[in-house]
Amino acid sequence: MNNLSQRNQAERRFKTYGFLAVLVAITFLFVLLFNIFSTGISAFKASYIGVNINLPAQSERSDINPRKEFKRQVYEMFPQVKTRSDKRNLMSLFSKGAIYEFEELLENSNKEDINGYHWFLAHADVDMYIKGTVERQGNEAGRINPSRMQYVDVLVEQNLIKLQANQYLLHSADSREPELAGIKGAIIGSFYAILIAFIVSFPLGVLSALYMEKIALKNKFSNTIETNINNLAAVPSIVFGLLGLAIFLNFFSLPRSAPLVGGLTLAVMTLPTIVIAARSAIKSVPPSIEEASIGLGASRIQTLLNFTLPLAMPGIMTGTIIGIARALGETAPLLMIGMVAFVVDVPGTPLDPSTALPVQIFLWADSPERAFVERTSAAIMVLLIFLVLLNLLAIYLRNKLEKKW
Amino acid sequence: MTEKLKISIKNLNVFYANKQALYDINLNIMEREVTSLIGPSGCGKSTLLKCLNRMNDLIDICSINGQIMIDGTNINDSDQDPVLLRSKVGMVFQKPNPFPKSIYDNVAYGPKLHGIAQSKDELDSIVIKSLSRAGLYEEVKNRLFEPGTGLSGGQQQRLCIARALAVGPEIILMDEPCSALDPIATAKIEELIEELKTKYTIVIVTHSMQQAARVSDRTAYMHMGELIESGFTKNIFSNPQHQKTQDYITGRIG
Amino acid sequence: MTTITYLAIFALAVYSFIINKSRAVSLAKFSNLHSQPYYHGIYSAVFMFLPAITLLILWTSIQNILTNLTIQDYFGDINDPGLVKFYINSVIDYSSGVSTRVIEHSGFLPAVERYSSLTYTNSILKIIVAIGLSVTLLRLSMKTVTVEFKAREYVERLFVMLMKLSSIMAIVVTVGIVLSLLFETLRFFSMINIFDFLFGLQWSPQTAIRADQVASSGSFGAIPVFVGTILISLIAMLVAVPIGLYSAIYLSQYAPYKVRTFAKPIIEILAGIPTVVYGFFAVITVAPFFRDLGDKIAPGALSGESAIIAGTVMGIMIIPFITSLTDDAMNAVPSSLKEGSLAMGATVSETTKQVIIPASFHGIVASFLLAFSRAIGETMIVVMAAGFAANLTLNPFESVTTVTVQIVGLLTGDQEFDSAKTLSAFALAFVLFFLTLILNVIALNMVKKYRELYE
Repeated sequence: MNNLSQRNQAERRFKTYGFLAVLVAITFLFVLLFNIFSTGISAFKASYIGVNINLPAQSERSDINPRKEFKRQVYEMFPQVKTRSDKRNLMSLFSKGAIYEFEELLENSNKEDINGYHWFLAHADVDMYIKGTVERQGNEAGRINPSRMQYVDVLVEQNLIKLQANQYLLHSADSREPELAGIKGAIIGSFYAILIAFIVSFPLGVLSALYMEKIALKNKFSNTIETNINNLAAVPSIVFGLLGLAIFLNFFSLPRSAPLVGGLTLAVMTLPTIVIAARSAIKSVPPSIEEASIGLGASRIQTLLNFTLPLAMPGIMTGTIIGIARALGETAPLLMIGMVAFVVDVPGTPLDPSTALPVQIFLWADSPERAFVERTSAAIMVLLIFLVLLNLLAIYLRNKLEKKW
Repeated sequence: MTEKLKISIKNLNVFYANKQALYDINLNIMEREVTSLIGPSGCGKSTLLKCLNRMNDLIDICSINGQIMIDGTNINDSDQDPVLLRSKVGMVFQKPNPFPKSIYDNVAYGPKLHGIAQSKDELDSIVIKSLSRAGLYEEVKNRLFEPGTGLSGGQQQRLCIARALAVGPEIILMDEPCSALDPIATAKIEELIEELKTKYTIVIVTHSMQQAARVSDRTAYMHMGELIESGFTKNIFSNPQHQKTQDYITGRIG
Repeated sequence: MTTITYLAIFALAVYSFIINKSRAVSLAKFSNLHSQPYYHGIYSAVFMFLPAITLLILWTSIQNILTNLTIQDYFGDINDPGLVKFYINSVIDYSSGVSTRVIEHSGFLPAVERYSSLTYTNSILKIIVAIGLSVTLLRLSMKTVTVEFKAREYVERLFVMLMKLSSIMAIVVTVGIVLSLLFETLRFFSMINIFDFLFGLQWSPQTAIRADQVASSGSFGAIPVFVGTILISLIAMLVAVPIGLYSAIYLSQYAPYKVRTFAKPIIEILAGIPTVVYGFFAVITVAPFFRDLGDKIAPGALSGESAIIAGTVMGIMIIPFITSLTDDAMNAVPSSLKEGSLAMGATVSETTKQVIIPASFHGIVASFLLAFSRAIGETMIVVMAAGFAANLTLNPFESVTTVTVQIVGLLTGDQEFDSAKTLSAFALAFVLFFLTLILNVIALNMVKKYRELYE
């Protein structure tokens, strides 16, 4: 047995490789999550510039032109600003949305309370510099040239730039300006799409599973259906997108970019998952319960609906929620049916053009502006949180419902 | 028959987590004899058997204290390698478990692993010798490269015995080797045991008293984790010292 | 208008249910009914609802077709069917107030008038007939509430039919996929030679912009695209297989219980992360990483969209597939084999390599096939991290494109739906669908075969 030490060494090596493999896999996960979270966390705050609002007491509110008035207030902070280009440089530090913020301020408050410091959204260029994402080189930082930088320096010195909660990220729809861009439209769009996907695929899936598991005879036809469903579960998601394109958009002429179409396409994609999960749940219901019910004179259908289905529900719900969670993260099919257009309104109904959260992430990821990088990460964080919640819901439901039985 | 002590078990206690399975076992196993462990189900005979080749190490919650000496060395010492031990102590299981390989490869597995054969010819001769000793060679010599799983139950079990023999052990442990076989196959295996004991020390767990009476030189009767009585087989069966042994043998329990 | 009609019919159905159920309840006080009142209610509701709705839907569809045909006459002088369709839509939009755009054509305003009056009369008629039918059916249904009437059987039969239809949906979907892909693919092959597509080496999909351009100014040789797909997927497998397989081995053979219950779900999380997140990760982290690495060794040699970037990230995504599928395969091997090997003095690694893996070989290969199939069908990672230009190469440091990238690129943006360019996307999709289907079938058959070994 002179090879014993070699064999033991080989054993130790093998075990180490296995351990390292697990470690590597887990490390990948953590690197990815850490990356996303560290770049995304900064998006939840935005830079706001403080302006000392001083409205003359006699002016009528309806007479004020918000745009002109706002500019006037800003220029008053920097009396040395005279030339047109200077003025432009100063105003460019503010976001285009700042004027709407001022308008809102005028509408919502009394003339007496209004005076004092108020904070207005800064332009993304400034935001990037303040957060340190874009580094300063001499008198420049990113797209802030020296003539703009001088004002930035003054504002910083006077503590007139600060980071506050980013109101736009979660409450606005998409925008060309990164600082005004939000995911609300995408969230609503995703919500409508997932809701429709659920409403369509859940009944169809459960009814199919009930039929195939409990009523259909085991013949060639039912085997064909079964093979079909198993194969559908392995089809790439983009193919479902093409199906949606060819049938829902071209044949049925449904409105393009609508969550309705997205939902229908996702429903088709989720259907096999639900059927497979439901079948397995229904299969695990002990036949003794059904025999007892039929023995008492109930019909097959009554037994199925009153006993089998409720008992199989935990498993069915778990499988469905997992399928829905998958659908929430799908991008490719939605690209194919057009939920990729740049949409600035929050969709009112499932028929309005809209985008979905993963698609929004895709669009922002494609954008060249630095400010969109952190927002993309933030959107990803929101998406991941939804996914975690859905999965926790699935686990909770499974535990809670199983107790009864 | 020269009586040489091969295995000496002293004060062995075995626990599965907090449950005790074996209580203070003391037993001597002599070289080149067949010793059988008998007793009702759950009495711990398989557990005791598995201690002898440290197969219980595979179970996380199992803990042992006491001494098991084979040829004077405690096999549970920290410097003892179980891999080496298992090449010296072979095992045959209740249900035949040939590998999904050819008959030849099944038998050659052990020798190849331990580097016993230096050349292909040596390996061939080891395979043939082991199959012969297991009484299987004549039946399979023309189909050595067919899968081992294609044999009948009794043949598969003899293949497993050949496989164990190929490693060149000194001790063979058998855990109810015939319980999955028909009477004719059982008879063949019992014949084989009779031949093998001239070269090997055999410890066999069996739930059949008749088999123990037929096959073994010494017998140990176990009950609920305790060793009640041990001694020469003919004495145990004709003149048991303990009431419990008497009850088992006369069929009142177990 | 129509919505209200639908709602009215629905309300009538609910009313039918309530009233017939209560009638059945009162009947039950005097004699034993065959079916519970509940079923009578449902029966009558469906009895009334289905025909009415069917009538409504049919009427509306036919109405639309006929109306369109009528309006078409006003534009009889135009040759371009696309333009006619556009004009018809404009008439409809104008009449319903959706748009205020007037088309400069003599037939426009008369068409609008005609359309409005037609729609008006139709709607009135439709509502009267639909409601009338509903009420009639409702009265009729009330007659069915008798003691002997087997309402429950009818309702249950209806339910079974509903279930059957749902199951057939699966087939409908598959047929739908195959047909829609096939149809467009065949149209594509009527424009481009199939052999040029399958075996051509040049992929630059363009269509003739002007009628006088040479029709084959673009080339549709898909080999570079196929090779690119396979290259990236192979790189993914190279990453995922060692890590996935060794992880599975460690977790099933070596890991203590606590480590296994903790580590396995964590690895599964990798499978739950949306692929768009992987794509983003590839762009912001992996690509710069490889770029910096490449710059140290050979500056500028590594393309920012090189296959190795997308392949690595895709590999990370696939790791959990390999881990869990091979783990399942290895666990299916009876433990008696493992015990038998260990009892002969083999180490765990020897047992794993020489007994367990050969015994679960079919299952392991099947899992590789399934993982590979997943890789070639993956879209977002490659859309975001791989290139768009077709480049026929096996060099992982160059940029290549894949089938899915091309499909996305060709079908988003402007689509001229009949051009060879757009149709080539369908041809690519058909090949992809076909390939993943075959891989899936082979894998499932392998699993069935090895399961038989242990029956």
